[in-house]
Amino acid sequence: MTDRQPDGDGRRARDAAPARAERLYALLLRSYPPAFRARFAGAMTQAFRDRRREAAALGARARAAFWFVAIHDAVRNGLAERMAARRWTRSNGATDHAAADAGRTRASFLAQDLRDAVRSFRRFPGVALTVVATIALGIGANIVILAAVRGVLLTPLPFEAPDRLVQVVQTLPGRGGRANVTPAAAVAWEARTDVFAASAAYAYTTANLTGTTPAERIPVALVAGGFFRTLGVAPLVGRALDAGDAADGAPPVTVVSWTTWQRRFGGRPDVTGGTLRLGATTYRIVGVMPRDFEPLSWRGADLWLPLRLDPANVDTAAYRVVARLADGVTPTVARLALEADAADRARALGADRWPAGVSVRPLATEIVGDVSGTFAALQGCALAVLLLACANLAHLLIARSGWRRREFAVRAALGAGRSRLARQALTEQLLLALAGGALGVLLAAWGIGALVSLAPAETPRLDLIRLDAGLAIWAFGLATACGLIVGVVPAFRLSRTRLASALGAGARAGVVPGRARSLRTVVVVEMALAVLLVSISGVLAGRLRLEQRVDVGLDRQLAAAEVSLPGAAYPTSDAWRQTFAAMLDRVRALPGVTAVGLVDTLPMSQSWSQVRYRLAEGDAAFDFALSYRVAGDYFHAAGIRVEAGRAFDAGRRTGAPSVLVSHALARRHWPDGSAVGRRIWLDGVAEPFTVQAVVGDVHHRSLADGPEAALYFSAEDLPVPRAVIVARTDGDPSALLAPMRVVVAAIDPQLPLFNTRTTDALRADLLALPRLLVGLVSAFAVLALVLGLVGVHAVVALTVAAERRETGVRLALGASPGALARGFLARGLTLSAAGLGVGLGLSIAAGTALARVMDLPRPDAALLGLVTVALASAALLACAIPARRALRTDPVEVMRSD
Amino acid sequence: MPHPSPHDLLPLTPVVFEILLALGDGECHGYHIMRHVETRTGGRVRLHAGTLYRALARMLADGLIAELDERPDPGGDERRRYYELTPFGIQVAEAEMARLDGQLRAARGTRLLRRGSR
Repeated sequence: MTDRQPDGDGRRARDAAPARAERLYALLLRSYPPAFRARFAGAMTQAFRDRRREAAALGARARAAFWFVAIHDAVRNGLAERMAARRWTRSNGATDHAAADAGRTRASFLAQDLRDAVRSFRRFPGVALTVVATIALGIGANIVILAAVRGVLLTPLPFEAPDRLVQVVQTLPGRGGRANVTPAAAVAWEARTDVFAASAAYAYTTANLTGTTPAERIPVALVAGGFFRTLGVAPLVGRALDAGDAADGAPPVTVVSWTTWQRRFGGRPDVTGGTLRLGATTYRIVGVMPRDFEPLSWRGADLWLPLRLDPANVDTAAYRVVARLADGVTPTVARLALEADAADRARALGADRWPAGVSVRPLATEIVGDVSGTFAALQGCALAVLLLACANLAHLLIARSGWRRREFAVRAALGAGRSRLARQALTEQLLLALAGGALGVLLAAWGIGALVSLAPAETPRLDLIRLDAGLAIWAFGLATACGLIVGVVPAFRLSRTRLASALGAGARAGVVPGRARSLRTVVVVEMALAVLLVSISGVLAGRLRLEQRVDVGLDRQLAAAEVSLPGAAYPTSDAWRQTFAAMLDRVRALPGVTAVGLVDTLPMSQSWSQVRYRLAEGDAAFDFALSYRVAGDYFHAAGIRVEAGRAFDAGRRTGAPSVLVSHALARRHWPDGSAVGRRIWLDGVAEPFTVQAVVGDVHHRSLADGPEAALYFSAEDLPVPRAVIVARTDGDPSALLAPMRVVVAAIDPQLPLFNTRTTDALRADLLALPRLLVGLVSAFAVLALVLGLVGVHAVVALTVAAERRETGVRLALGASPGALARGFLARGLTLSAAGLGVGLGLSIAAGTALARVMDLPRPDAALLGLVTVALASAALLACAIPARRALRTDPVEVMRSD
Repeated sequence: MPHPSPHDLLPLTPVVFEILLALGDGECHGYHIMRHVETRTGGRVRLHAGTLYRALARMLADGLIAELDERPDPGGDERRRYYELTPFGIQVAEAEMARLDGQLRAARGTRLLRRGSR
């Protein structure tokens, strides 16, 4: 340092720094009230100088800390002193600021503010209620959606280091499809320890639980040895499954879920060693998984069974693989590594048996799936509504600040300080916001309940959508922020009210003209958002209506129930055929049944199968179609019309390979109607199938899309061990399910009926998600609309109130009341029109974006026109009410009150 | 007299009490008080100018201390304002000490302090 150097430059430099510091401190001192400053500034600057010298001697860090503390000290105490001075001035009429804190505590000031606030709510109950209700609606909507987003998307999977877990499947390059995994591929991947720290194949399916009466169909998971190790979850009781359990000659063992343990074993600690029967096999229980062990499929699993993989099997693509990435390996690196391997195998074995593509995606994405788009849309709506709510509030409070200017001006004149008035105005808004937050939490609790009950049952992680303390706190934080944001401007305005302008000649009890512009902007924004949400919900509702009207192609008088024949008791395809034939006979004999048939995958159910076919032997071009195997009188029972040719004979084999094609498939290849008699080749089947008939179309996976091409094969030729019995009745189809259960149990009491459904139930399942979406967006739209209309209403009401005096004068001078009212009406409608215009533009833009993201039709001109007309009429009504009030102005009374 | 009884001001805030203690040894200027408090509390209470002068202003208004004329620091050439205790300030400090002493005695009579000192 240059401390001891007597040279002039060094000294000047050293003197400059303290001077700068003191100038800055002088600036900081301005946060104190003038009187305080006049008295203590000199001494404080002296103390500051002493402190600074002390800190400077200690080095750079001490200097930085010193400045931080000095600034904080000056600002905090300065503001506190200012507030104390205000309080003192107000309560004593004196200026002895210093004694303020001695007289009253902080708490008693708060109490005073609260008392004042409650008094003002009593004077303006309508405004207070509107503020509370608006915040409650906005917060409630946001919390419901947040709960859903958090529960479904953000809750981490209950596995060890879940972000390192991926799902791996084989893909067909170029066809875009994601296939399942063959045992051979799963075994090959397990050996790739350079890519995966651990991996395991699994499959979620169902099995017949036979030790109980009646027999039940339960969800089970088949898992390879490394499954639990890969996920990193230890069992709650006993041990998990390992590779040894799937070895040759190993005794059948199983691990049960927490729910199964509680439900079937009463949570007994000695559950290990107990047994369960599936089909003809008895499994010994070796462990119980923890309660929060999440299944990797929406089906869930009551039991986990050892899965044995044959490394030579390249045909049964029935599995998925979960893997834990090795250290430093990313999903892309893993994919490239596996694909290099797959390309070699594909060349050696053929791309059909070993697809060359591999997909490696985070497990979380796999489980949560494609609901994220839905939730993103909902989140956007919720935020839009909160924005509207805030806009409305700011607007209302500004409006009220106009009404209250006189009150505040009088109080200011009587000695209330500016900060005191601002603080009171803010206290009022905070109180209202918190009340709104509390009500919002209640609304959210109710809304979450409704959401969970409305959502389709297979929505992943539905049970994680719930309200908790964290969300409630967030709700209050949000409410406080809303209250502060929308309250600051009016509070500031009120506190600056000057007596002369508020009470003086020509003053009005309403808004000042300059403020009207910001009010109008708020209303335009509100109306625009309302238009946007209404038109989006219109688009969604339009699609839903379309889907509801779609003829799925199935008869409505339909009862369906699934049966699966266990391999041990029914080893041969003859046994399958005979058993199902017996069942069809018995069901046909039930009273009310008009036709009975059998199909392997029921349309609109969650499962389907697809085949690849060619129109000429060895043809390079191929196509995909849904494939069904049917028996009995399926087409008659399901209500599918035979359009050309002849359906399969019930109970008889076809002799030569035959196929029925759907209308859509026939039109795709033979639009001239010459389908019958044509031939189709399937992959892996040498002999062609001759088209025997064309049948009506059925929707299988989606109602919005057109019906898919389908091929029907005879289950007499190609028997299945698992099928859906479809019965048509002339009575109530759901009443048929119980007798069907009885007749099936009469054939084999070990066989459970499951997935029992009617056409209406199938349809309802398929429409559940779209219906939920429409309900939510419409709810938001109605909310936004109500807010927007309240806004327009308030603007006109405000203008009417502000110009009450002028109106009175003009009426007294003989102006026509009708013309005056029309003037007010025109002002409100001009605003609404601007809002509608902006909203229409937004709707078209958003519609285009939505069409791309969510596969929705764009809003058409008719819809937009309808929305415009409806909103304009509503706005007219909202403006008419206050405009009518202007008509009733009594000139004499107005004059007297001024 | 604005404060007929010293007890009206009790309990004192820690800062006010520390300042009274600092002035107990005789008149001080502001920086002196800061140093005194910091040394006595082993650095646990560190006053800054704002906190100090707000408290001083309050104490002046309550009549606990009196403001003396500005005069040069004995050790330096800067002029500083000095403060001293008033008789009322001494009464208040005594009342506060009696109050604290009573609390301490009460605490000693309970298991709370015995357990702490074991």
